Amino acid sequence: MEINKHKNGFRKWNQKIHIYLGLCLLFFIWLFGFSGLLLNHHWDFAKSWEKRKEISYNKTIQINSVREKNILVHEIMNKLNLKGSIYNLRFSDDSVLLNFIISKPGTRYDIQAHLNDGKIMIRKTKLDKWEIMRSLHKIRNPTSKEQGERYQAVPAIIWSLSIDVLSAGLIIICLGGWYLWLQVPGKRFYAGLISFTTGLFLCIYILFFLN
Amino acid sequence: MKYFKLIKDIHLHTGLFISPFIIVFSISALILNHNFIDWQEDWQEWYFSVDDKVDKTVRFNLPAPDKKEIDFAKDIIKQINISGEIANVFRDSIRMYIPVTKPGYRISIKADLISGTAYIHSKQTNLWKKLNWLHKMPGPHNANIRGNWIFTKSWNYLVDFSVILLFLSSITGIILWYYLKNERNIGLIALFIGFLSVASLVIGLTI
Repeated sequence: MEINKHKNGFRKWNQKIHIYLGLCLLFFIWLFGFSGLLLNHHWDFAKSWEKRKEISYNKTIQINSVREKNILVHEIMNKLNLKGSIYNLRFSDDSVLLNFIISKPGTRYDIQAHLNDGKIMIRKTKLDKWEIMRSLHKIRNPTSKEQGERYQAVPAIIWSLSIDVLSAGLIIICLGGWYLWLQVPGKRFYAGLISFTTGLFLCIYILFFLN
Repeated sequence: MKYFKLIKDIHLHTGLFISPFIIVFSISALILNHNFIDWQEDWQEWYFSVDDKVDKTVRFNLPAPDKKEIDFAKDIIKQINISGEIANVFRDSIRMYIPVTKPGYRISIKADLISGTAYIHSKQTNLWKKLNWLHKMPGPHNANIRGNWIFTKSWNYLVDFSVILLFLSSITGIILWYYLKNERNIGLIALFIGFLSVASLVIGLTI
Protein backbone atom coordinates (compact mmCIF):
# COMPACT_ATOMS: atom_id res chain seq x y z
CA MET A 1 0.00 0.00 0.00
CA GLU A 2 2.75 2.40 1.12
CA ILE A 3 4.98 1.36 -1.81
CA ASN A 4 2.15 1.96 -4.30
CA LYS A 5 1.53 5.40 -2.82
CA HIS A 6 5.21 6.30 -3.23
CA LYS A 7 5.26 4.86 -6.74
CA ASN A 8 2.20 6.88 -7.77
CA GLY A 9 3.67 10.00 -6.20
CA PHE A 10 6.95 9.50 -8.08
CA ARG A 11 5.12 8.85 -11.37
CA LYS A 12 3.03 11.98 -10.91
CA TRP A 13 6.06 14.18 -10.16
CA ASN A 14 8.06 12.59 -12.92
CA GLN A 15 5.29 13.42 -15.38
CA LYS A 16 5.13 17.00 -14.11
CA ILE A 17 8.91 17.43 -14.44
CA HIS A 18 8.78 15.90 -17.95
CA ILE A 19 6.09 18.40 -19.01
CA TYR A 20 7.40 21.55 -17.34
CA LEU A 21 11.04 20.99 -18.18
CA GLY A 22 10.08 20.22 -21.78
CA LEU A 23 8.03 23.43 -22.02
CA CYS A 24 10.69 25.54 -20.34
CA LEU A 25 13.40 24.29 -22.68
CA LEU A 26 11.18 24.24 -25.78
CA PHE A 27 12.60 27.39 -27.41
CA PHE A 28 16.16 26.35 -26.64
CA ILE A 29 15.46 22.93 -28.19
CA TRP A 30 13.99 24.49 -31.34
CA LEU A 31 16.84 26.98 -31.60
CA PHE A 32 19.57 24.35 -31.22
CA GLY A 33 17.73 21.87 -33.47
CA PHE A 34 17.32 24.36 -36.29
CA SER A 35 20.81 25.86 -35.93
CA GLY A 36 22.22 22.33 -35.97
CA LEU A 37 20.54 21.80 -39.34
CA LEU A 38 21.96 25.12 -40.55
CA LEU A 39 25.46 24.03 -39.53
CA ASN A 40 25.19 20.68 -41.27
CA HIS A 41 23.73 21.99 -44.53
CA HIS A 42 24.83 24.72 -46.83
CA TRP A 43 21.51 26.03 -47.98
CA ASP A 44 21.63 28.95 -50.40
CA PHE A 45 19.30 31.15 -48.37
CA ALA A 46 21.62 30.83 -45.35
CA LYS A 47 24.96 31.57 -47.02
CA SER A 48 25.73 34.37 -44.62
CA TRP A 49 29.43 34.90 -45.33
CA GLU A 50 28.75 35.69 -49.00
CA LYS A 51 26.14 38.26 -47.96
CA ARG A 52 28.25 39.90 -45.24
CA LYS A 53 28.64 43.67 -44.95
CA GLU A 54 32.09 44.99 -44.16
CA ILE A 55 33.17 48.43 -43.02
CA SER A 56 36.76 49.43 -42.28
CA TYR A 57 37.72 52.48 -40.28
CA ASN A 58 40.54 53.83 -38.14
CA LYS A 59 40.53 55.49 -34.75
CA THR A 60 43.25 56.92 -32.61
CA ILE A 61 43.16 56.53 -28.85
CA GLN A 62 45.50 57.03 -25.92
CA ILE A 63 46.99 53.64 -25.00
CA ASN A 64 48.46 52.68 -21.64
CA SER A 65 52.18 51.98 -21.66
CA VAL A 66 51.66 48.65 -19.87
CA ARG A 67 52.20 45.87 -22.46
CA GLU A 68 49.99 43.25 -20.87
CA LYS A 69 47.61 41.64 -23.40
CA ASN A 70 44.62 41.31 -21.14
CA ILE A 71 44.75 44.86 -19.78
CA LEU A 72 45.41 46.38 -23.21
CA VAL A 73 42.53 44.59 -24.92
CA HIS A 74 40.00 45.60 -22.31
CA GLU A 75 41.29 49.17 -22.39
CA ILE A 76 40.96 49.31 -26.19
CA MET A 77 37.47 47.76 -26.08
CA ASN A 78 36.32 50.24 -23.44
CA LYS A 79 37.70 53.23 -25.31
CA LEU A 80 36.15 52.09 -28.59
CA ASN A 81 32.95 51.06 -26.83
CA LEU A 82 33.00 47.56 -28.34
CA LYS A 83 31.44 44.52 -26.70
CA GLY A 84 31.89 40.81 -27.30
CA SER A 85 34.11 37.81 -26.75
CA ILE A 86 37.82 38.08 -27.57
CA TYR A 87 39.62 35.61 -29.85
CA ASN A 88 43.04 35.12 -31.45
CA LEU A 89 44.78 37.57 -29.21
CA ARG A 90 48.34 38.00 -30.54
CA PHE A 91 51.24 40.43 -30.24
CA SER A 92 53.57 40.95 -33.19
CA ASP A 93 57.16 39.76 -32.63
CA ASP A 94 58.32 43.28 -31.74
CA SER A 95 55.24 43.88 -29.49
CA VAL A 96 54.31 46.96 -31.50
CA LEU A 97 51.12 45.49 -32.95
CA LEU A 98 48.31 43.78 -31.09
CA ASN A 99 45.83 41.80 -33.21
CA PHE A 100 42.60 40.34 -31.96
CA ILE A 101 39.01 39.62 -32.89
CA ILE A 102 35.97 40.76 -30.96
CA SER A 103 33.01 38.63 -31.77
CA LYS A 104 29.36 38.43 -30.83
CA PRO A 105 26.62 36.60 -32.73
CA GLY A 106 26.11 38.46 -36.01
CA THR A 107 29.02 40.90 -35.64
CA ARG A 108 32.77 40.54 -35.77
CA TYR A 109 35.48 43.17 -35.33
CA ASP A 110 39.00 42.47 -36.56
CA ILE A 111 41.24 44.81 -34.61
CA GLN A 112 44.81 45.79 -35.28
CA ALA A 113 46.20 48.11 -32.63
CA HIS A 114 49.43 50.06 -33.20
CA LEU A 115 50.56 50.39 -29.63
CA ASN A 116 53.18 53.11 -30.16
CA ASP A 117 50.90 55.75 -31.68
CA GLY A 118 47.49 54.47 -30.53
CA LYS A 119 46.16 54.02 -34.07
CA ILE A 120 43.50 51.33 -34.18
CA MET A 121 42.43 49.76 -37.48
CA ILE A 122 38.99 48.21 -37.24
CA ARG A 123 37.19 46.02 -39.75
CA LYS A 124 33.58 45.45 -38.81
CA THR A 125 31.76 42.51 -40.41
CA LYS A 126 27.99 42.30 -40.10
CA LEU A 127 26.34 38.93 -40.70
CA ASP A 128 22.71 37.98 -41.10
CA LYS A 129 20.22 36.22 -38.81
CA TRP A 130 21.21 32.73 -40.00
CA GLU A 131 24.79 33.31 -38.90
CA ILE A 132 23.49 34.60 -35.56
CA MET A 133 21.75 31.23 -35.12
CA ARG A 134 24.89 29.30 -36.09
CA SER A 135 26.99 31.39 -33.69
CA LEU A 136 24.56 30.76 -30.84
CA HIS A 137 24.98 27.03 -31.43
CA LYS A 138 28.77 27.26 -31.33
CA ILE A 139 29.32 29.44 -28.25
CA ARG A 140 31.38 27.53 -25.69
CA ASN A 141 33.91 28.06 -22.93
CA PRO A 142 37.59 28.33 -23.96
CA THR A 143 39.57 25.10 -23.89
CA SER A 144 42.84 24.73 -21.98
CA LYS A 145 44.75 25.33 -25.24
CA GLU A 146 42.92 28.62 -25.75
CA GLN A 147 43.66 30.07 -22.30
CA GLY A 148 45.20 33.51 -22.70
CA GLU A 149 43.99 33.84 -26.31
CA ARG A 150 40.28 33.75 -25.80
CA TYR A 151 38.00 35.50 -23.31
CA GLN A 152 34.25 35.08 -23.10
CA ALA A 153 31.97 38.09 -22.66
CA VAL A 154 29.56 37.87 -19.72
CA PRO A 155 26.44 37.16 -21.89
CA ALA A 156 28.42 34.40 -23.64
CA ILE A 157 29.34 32.87 -20.26
CA ILE A 158 25.64 32.89 -19.30
CA TRP A 159 24.77 31.36 -22.68
CA SER A 160 27.38 28.61 -22.13
CA LEU A 161 25.77 27.95 -18.78
CA SER A 162 22.36 27.72 -20.42
CA ILE A 163 23.81 25.11 -22.82
CA ASP A 164 24.74 23.06 -19.74
CA VAL A 165 21.24 23.52 -18.34
CA LEU A 166 19.73 22.47 -21.68
CA SER A 167 21.96 19.39 -21.93
CA ALA A 168 21.23 18.30 -18.36
CA GLY A 169 17.52 19.10 -18.85
CA LEU A 170 17.33 17.00 -22.01
CA ILE A 171 18.96 14.04 -20.24
CA ILE A 172 16.40 14.38 -17.41
CA ILE A 173 13.53 14.60 -19.95
CA CYS A 174 14.79 11.41 -21.65
CA LEU A 175 15.23 9.50 -18.40
CA GLY A 176 11.79 10.67 -17.21
CA GLY A 177 10.31 9.68 -20.56
CA TRP A 178 11.78 6.19 -20.26
CA TYR A 179 10.25 5.82 -16.79
CA LEU A 180 6.85 6.96 -18.08
CA TRP A 181 7.10 4.50 -20.96
CA LEU A 182 7.88 1.64 -18.52
CA GLN A 183 4.50 2.35 -16.87
CA VAL A 184 2.64 2.00 -20.19
CA PRO A 185 0.69 -1.27 -20.21
CA GLY A 186 0.40 -4.00 -22.87
CA LYS A 187 0.87 -3.56 -26.60
CA ARG A 188 1.94 0.09 -26.41
CA PHE A 189 4.86 -0.88 -24.20
CA TYR A 190 6.12 -3.46 -26.72
CA ALA A 191 5.62 -1.08 -29.64
CA GLY A 192 7.65 1.50 -27.69
CA LEU A 193 10.30 -1.14 -27.07
CA ILE A 194 10.78 -1.48 -30.83
CA SER A 195 11.25 2.29 -31.27
CA PHE A 196 13.60 2.53 -28.31
CA THR A 197 15.77 -0.47 -29.22
CA THR A 198 16.03 0.71 -32.84
CA GLY A 199 17.41 4.09 -31.70
CA LEU A 200 19.61 2.50 -29.04
CA PHE A 201 20.96 -0.15 -31.42
CA LEU A 202 21.89 2.52 -33.98
CA CYS A 203 23.68 4.59 -31.34
CA ILE A 204 25.55 1.61 -29.87
CA TYR A 205 26.55 0.40 -33.34
CA ILE A 206 27.88 3.84 -34.32
CA LEU A 207 29.71 4.34 -31.03
CA PHE A 208 31.27 0.93 -30.51
CA PHE A 209 31.26 -1.11 -33.71
CA LEU A 210 31.93 1.31 -36.50
CA ASN A 211 35.60 0.80 -37.15
CA MET B 1 -10.37 14.08 -29.07
CA LYS B 2 -10.36 12.05 -32.27
CA TYR B 3 -6.61 12.04 -32.82
CA PHE B 4 -5.54 12.07 -29.17
CA LYS B 5 -4.35 8.45 -29.15
CA LEU B 6 -2.47 8.92 -32.42
CA ILE B 7 -0.71 12.05 -31.10
CA LYS B 8 0.15 10.22 -27.88
CA ASP B 9 1.67 7.35 -29.91
CA ILE B 10 3.66 9.71 -32.13
CA HIS B 11 5.06 11.45 -29.02
CA LEU B 12 5.93 8.11 -27.42
CA HIS B 13 7.64 6.54 -30.44
CA THR B 14 9.49 9.60 -31.71
CA GLY B 15 10.66 10.36 -28.17
CA LEU B 16 11.85 6.82 -27.53
CA PHE B 17 13.64 6.54 -30.87
CA ILE B 18 15.54 9.81 -30.54
CA SER B 19 16.27 9.58 -26.80
CA PRO B 20 19.64 7.75 -27.22
CA PHE B 21 20.67 10.35 -29.84
CA ILE B 22 19.62 13.19 -27.56
CA ILE B 23 21.70 11.72 -24.74
CA VAL B 24 24.71 11.39 -27.08
CA PHE B 25 24.34 15.01 -28.20
CA SER B 26 23.73 16.29 -24.65
CA ILE B 27 26.79 14.57 -23.21
CA SER B 28 28.98 15.71 -26.10
CA ALA B 29 27.62 19.28 -25.72
CA LEU B 30 28.72 19.23 -22.08
CA ILE B 31 32.17 17.95 -23.09
CA LEU B 32 32.55 20.56 -25.83
CA ASN B 33 31.45 23.30 -23.46
CA HIS B 34 33.98 22.46 -20.77
CA ASN B 35 37.52 21.32 -20.16
CA PHE B 36 36.76 17.88 -18.69
CA ILE B 37 38.50 16.30 -21.63
CA ASP B 38 41.14 17.70 -23.92
CA TRP B 39 39.00 17.33 -27.04
CA GLN B 40 40.58 19.94 -29.27
CA GLU B 41 42.51 18.46 -32.18
CA ASP B 42 45.81 19.92 -33.27
CA TRP B 43 45.12 19.64 -36.99
CA GLN B 44 48.64 20.30 -38.18
CA GLU B 45 50.10 17.77 -35.78
CA TRP B 46 47.59 15.18 -36.99
CA TYR B 47 48.03 15.90 -40.72
CA PHE B 48 51.80 15.41 -40.62
CA SER B 49 52.11 12.91 -37.74
CA VAL B 50 53.09 10.25 -40.30
CA ASP B 51 56.38 12.10 -40.77
CA ASP B 52 57.34 11.13 -37.22
CA LYS B 53 55.82 7.68 -36.90
CA VAL B 54 54.89 5.06 -39.50
CA ASP B 55 52.81 2.04 -38.49
CA LYS B 56 52.45 0.47 -41.90
CA THR B 57 53.53 0.91 -45.52
CA VAL B 58 51.33 -0.23 -48.41
CA ARG B 59 51.88 -0.12 -52.17
CA PHE B 60 49.30 1.46 -54.47
CA ASN B 61 48.86 2.18 -58.16
CA LEU B 62 48.90 5.85 -59.06
CA PRO B 63 45.37 7.09 -59.85
CA ALA B 64 44.72 9.03 -63.07
CA PRO B 65 46.35 12.47 -62.61
CA ASP B 66 43.38 14.38 -64.05
CA LYS B 67 41.19 13.34 -61.11
CA LYS B 68 40.00 15.94 -58.63
CA GLU B 69 42.09 15.98 -55.43
CA ILE B 70 39.39 14.42 -53.31
CA ASP B 71 38.76 11.62 -55.87
CA PHE B 72 42.51 11.10 -56.18
CA ALA B 73 42.76 10.70 -52.39
CA LYS B 74 39.67 8.45 -52.30
CA ASP B 75 41.23 6.18 -54.92
CA ILE B 76 44.43 5.84 -52.88
CA ILE B 77 42.73 5.11 -49.56
CA LYS B 78 40.50 2.55 -51.27
CA GLN B 79 43.58 0.74 -52.62
CA ILE B 80 45.30 0.73 -49.24
CA ASN B 81 42.10 -0.50 -47.62
CA ILE B 82 41.36 2.43 -45.33
CA SER B 83 37.93 3.92 -44.83
CA GLY B 84 36.93 7.22 -43.27
CA GLU B 85 36.19 10.86 -43.86
CA ILE B 86 38.98 12.64 -45.73
CA ALA B 87 39.80 16.11 -44.42
CA ASN B 88 41.67 18.76 -46.44
CA VAL B 89 44.40 17.06 -48.48
CA PHE B 90 47.79 18.54 -49.23
CA ARG B 91 49.45 17.57 -52.50
CA ASP B 92 52.52 18.53 -54.49
CA SER B 93 54.23 16.79 -57.39
CA ILE B 94 55.91 14.09 -55.30
CA ARG B 95 53.62 13.40 -52.35
CA MET B 96 50.16 13.75 -50.99
CA TYR B 97 49.14 14.00 -47.34
CA ILE B 98 45.72 12.51 -46.72
CA PRO B 99 44.27 13.04 -43.25
CA VAL B 100 41.43 10.61 -42.56
CA THR B 101 39.09 10.63 -39.61
CA LYS B 102 36.34 8.43 -38.28
CA PRO B 103 34.74 7.95 -34.86
CA GLY B 104 37.50 6.63 -32.63
CA TYR B 105 40.35 7.02 -35.12
CA ARG B 106 42.47 9.62 -36.80
CA ILE B 107 44.74 8.45 -39.56
CA SER B 108 47.58 10.30 -41.23
CA ILE B 109 48.66 9.03 -44.66
CA LYS B 110 51.59 10.17 -46.75
CA ALA B 111 51.36 8.87 -50.30
CA ASP B 112 54.67 8.90 -52.16
CA LEU B 113 53.51 9.64 -55.71
CA ILE B 114 56.86 8.61 -57.27
CA SER B 115 57.31 5.17 -55.71
CA GLY B 116 53.60 4.42 -55.16
CA THR B 117 54.06 3.75 -51.45
CA ALA B 118 51.66 4.89 -48.77
CA TYR B 119 52.97 5.48 -45.25
CA ILE B 120 50.27 5.18 -42.63
CA HIS B 121 50.05 6.28 -39.04
CA SER B 122 46.81 5.77 -37.16
CA LYS B 123 45.84 6.75 -33.66
CA GLN B 124 42.92 5.52 -31.64
CA THR B 125 40.91 8.13 -29.74
CA ASN B 126 38.71 7.62 -26.70
CA LEU B 127 34.93 7.43 -26.30
CA TRP B 128 34.62 11.13 -25.46
CA LYS B 129 36.39 12.15 -28.65
CA LYS B 130 34.12 9.76 -30.55
CA LEU B 131 31.09 11.55 -29.07
CA ASN B 132 32.54 14.91 -30.08
CA TRP B 133 33.27 13.66 -33.59
CA LEU B 134 29.64 12.63 -33.92
CA HIS B 135 28.42 15.94 -32.50
CA LYS B 136 30.42 18.01 -34.97
CA MET B 137 30.04 15.94 -38.13
CA PRO B 138 29.46 16.88 -40.91
CA GLY B 139 29.50 20.51 -39.68
CA PRO B 140 30.11 23.76 -41.52
CA HIS B 141 33.79 23.35 -42.49
CA ASN B 142 35.25 22.01 -45.75
CA ALA B 143 31.76 22.12 -47.27
CA ASN B 144 33.00 21.22 -50.75
CA ILE B 145 34.49 17.89 -49.65
CA ARG B 146 32.60 17.04 -46.45
CA GLY B 147 30.55 13.86 -46.61
CA ASN B 148 33.05 12.00 -48.78
CA TRP B 149 32.65 8.86 -46.67
CA ILE B 150 29.38 6.97 -46.92
CA PHE B 151 29.08 6.84 -43.13
CA THR B 152 29.41 10.62 -42.73
CA LYS B 153 26.66 11.03 -45.30
CA SER B 154 24.46 8.45 -43.53
CA TRP B 155 25.15 10.07 -40.16
CA ASN B 156 24.12 13.40 -41.66
CA TYR B 157 20.78 11.91 -42.77
CA LEU B 158 20.30 10.24 -39.42
CA VAL B 159 20.96 13.50 -37.54
CA ASP B 160 18.52 15.37 -39.81
CA PHE B 161 15.94 12.66 -39.25
CA SER B 162 16.48 12.86 -35.47
CA VAL B 163 16.06 16.66 -35.50
CA ILE B 164 12.81 16.37 -37.49
CA LEU B 165 11.59 13.75 -35.01
CA LEU B 166 12.64 16.06 -32.16
CA PHE B 167 10.47 18.83 -33.63
CA LEU B 168 7.61 16.37 -34.09
CA SER B 169 8.02 15.09 -30.53
CA SER B 170 7.99 18.62 -29.12
CA ILE B 171 4.92 19.67 -31.15
CA THR B 172 2.98 16.56 -30.11
CA GLY B 173 4.16 17.19 -26.55
CA ILE B 174 2.64 20.69 -26.66
CA ILE B 175 -0.67 19.28 -27.94
CA LEU B 176 -0.72 16.65 -25.20
CA TRP B 177 0.04 19.27 -22.55
CA TYR B 178 -2.75 21.51 -23.85
CA TYR B 179 -5.27 18.75 -23.20
CA LEU B 180 -4.11 18.30 -19.61
CA LYS B 181 -6.28 21.06 -18.17
CA ASN B 182 -4.71 20.85 -14.67
CA GLU B 183 -1.23 21.52 -16.03
CA ARG B 184 -2.14 24.39 -18.33
CA ASN B 185 -1.40 27.34 -16.06
CA ILE B 186 1.93 26.16 -14.68
CA GLY B 187 2.87 24.93 -18.16
CA LEU B 188 2.18 28.37 -19.58
CA ILE B 189 4.42 29.91 -16.93
CA ALA B 190 7.19 27.40 -17.78
CA LEU B 191 6.79 28.17 -21.49
CA PHE B 192 6.92 31.92 -20.79
CA ILE B 193 10.03 31.57 -18.59
CA GLY B 194 11.73 29.58 -21.37
CA PHE B 195 10.82 32.14 -24.01
CA LEU B 196 11.94 35.04 -21.82
CA SER B 197 15.28 33.34 -21.09
CA VAL B 198 16.04 32.68 -24.76
CA ALA B 199 14.88 36.12 -25.90
CA SER B 200 16.77 38.05 -23.21
CA LEU B 201 19.96 36.05 -23.74
CA VAL B 202 19.84 36.43 -27.52
CA ILE B 203 19.26 40.18 -27.20
CA GLY B 204 22.03 40.45 -24.59
CA LEU B 205 24.44 38.58 -26.84
CA THR B 206 23.73 40.45 -30.04
CA ILE B 207 23.44 44.11 -29.00
